Amino acid sequence: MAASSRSPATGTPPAKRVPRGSGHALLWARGLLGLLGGYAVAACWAAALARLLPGAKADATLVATMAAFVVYALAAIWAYAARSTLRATLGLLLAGGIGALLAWLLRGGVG
Amino acid sequence: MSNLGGIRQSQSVLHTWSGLVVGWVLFLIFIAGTAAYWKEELTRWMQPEIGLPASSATAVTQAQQFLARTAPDAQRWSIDLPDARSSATSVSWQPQGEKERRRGQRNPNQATLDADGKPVQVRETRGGNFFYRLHFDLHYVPVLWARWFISACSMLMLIALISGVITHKKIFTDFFTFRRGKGQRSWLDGHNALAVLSLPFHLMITYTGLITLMTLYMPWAVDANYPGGRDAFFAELFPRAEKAEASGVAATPPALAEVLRRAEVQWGGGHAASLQIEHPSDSAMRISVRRHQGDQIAGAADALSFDARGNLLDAAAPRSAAVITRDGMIGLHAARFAPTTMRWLFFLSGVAGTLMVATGLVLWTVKRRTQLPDPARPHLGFRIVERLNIGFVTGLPVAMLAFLWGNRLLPLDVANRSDAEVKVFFYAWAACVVHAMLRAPRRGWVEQLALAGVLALGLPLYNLVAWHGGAVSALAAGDGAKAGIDIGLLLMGASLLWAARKVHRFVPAQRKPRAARTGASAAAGASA
Repeated sequence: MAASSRSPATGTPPAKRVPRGSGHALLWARGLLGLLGGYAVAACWAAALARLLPGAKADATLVATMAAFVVYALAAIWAYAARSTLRATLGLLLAGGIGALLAWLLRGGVG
Repeated sequence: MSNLGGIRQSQSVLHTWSGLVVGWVLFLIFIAGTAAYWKEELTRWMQPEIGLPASSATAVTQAQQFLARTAPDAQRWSIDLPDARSSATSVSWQPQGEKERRRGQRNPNQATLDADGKPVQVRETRGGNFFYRLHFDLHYVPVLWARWFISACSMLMLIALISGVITHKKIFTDFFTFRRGKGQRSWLDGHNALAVLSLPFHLMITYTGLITLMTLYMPWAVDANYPGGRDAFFAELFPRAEKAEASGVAATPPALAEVLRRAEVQWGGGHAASLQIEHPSDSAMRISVRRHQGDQIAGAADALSFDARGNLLDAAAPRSAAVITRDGMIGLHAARFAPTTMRWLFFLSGVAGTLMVATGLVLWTVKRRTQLPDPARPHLGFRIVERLNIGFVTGLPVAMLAFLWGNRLLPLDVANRSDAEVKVFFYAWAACVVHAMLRAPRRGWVEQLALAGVLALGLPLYNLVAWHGGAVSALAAGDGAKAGIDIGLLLMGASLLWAARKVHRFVPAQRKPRAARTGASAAAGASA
């Protein structure tokens, strides 16, 4: 990781550096977005998949829970990888929204 | 600034910070979990009063005779059978009219039987179970809080792993690269090599670890499908056998060894782990036999129930694919199925994981030191991180070894002996943290590494003298578990002392202006 975060010692100025101050605040914003936002997206998709997946109810529930962690990891990576904090937020909102909408649309089948 | 740089850059930042924030907790999780791969062997080692176990057929017959003598009209008998790794048969019973005891509550109605079926007085100890529980329940904190905390850290570990892979441009080249004696470079190379070498293990162990506690902190799928409450979900997943009602007609249980044999036939091979007999003095008795978790990768109890004549009444319904998948994940995590050679591989991967976290923590300080305005006099925050690294990375091994010493040295009749052993662990750990705060960092590392080394080397030697020849007699008796722990401790002690010596003799690189660093750092001594 140092290899990519530091410019090689050839005298060229660093191409990209994370600035101090506001940069750190943004970093933590992204971190919280990944941690909490990612969890929220995973939670929405856990509920959606639980109702979407075929098979016995208990089985669909188990598989949905196991798959939620994959969603979580992807969402957290997105929170950092997006070009701007705004895009990161919008992306997570969209992903979580679709999951929540699916879960809500499928609510009828649950007794 | 709205742009955090390219994806690698941002992932690198994510990796560094998510790694540090939870690094200390992860170190605890890794080291305790790694030790817990030998949980049964450790328990056997920690109860030297018991010899090798009997075969399960003999053990169950002896247990039946003991219970028939001791508690013929109990409400329930329970028998835990020994296996190749554990050491003794444990029996317990619930007298008529007494309530079922809660987990962890002290039960006076129990006994430990040796290979001859005689009750033995064993020292009270948590055994290897202490490390196992510490691994996900911590200690002195409410279990639910601990599990939430551990789960959050594991999630960050998963993110750190994934972002670590993305950060890594040359993941395979780096694996074969180890630049010795180059300070920060060496730490980075070591961290990379350890991480990549056992990357499949790390991904597997982190994901499956999350699976073990998933319904606790990812309950939304359950809530979505079971609006009435989570109990309905668990009832559907694990249907409970209905309770047997006593008929009032007296009877004695059939030969339990024969019941075991029938159970093993029913499973198509495999081993029984435990039996429970409800109303053992009544003709409506029910005998349930649970399977050994280590029989299959996706271990399951596969409970079978038998009646008073030893005929099969009921078998657990076959598991669905989803349940087998879940059980398989948990099985891969706990490695109960692993025979000795594979258990060693799990253990060594765990050691690699522990070292990966440790080198990552050290790298964090080594890297930041070069960026400090005055590396000779770092600011308070840096100093605290540096000292806590010592308190965890070497303090925890010292505490774990002190726990084993406590097992050997505490008087046998001390009240609440198993709690006293746990106290030894925490006092030793606290002492290490304080010691690390007071000493110069280098001295702190050397002294604690050396202490851990001496503690580890001392145990097998103490056993040799005080416990009937220790590893030598254990080997002669064919007790690989006890001897293995002793030999493992010897190797561990030797490596710790070697590491202490390395750190002691280490000559740090002279700090040069940045432009000239590349050549100069080659002069540095070897890193530990």
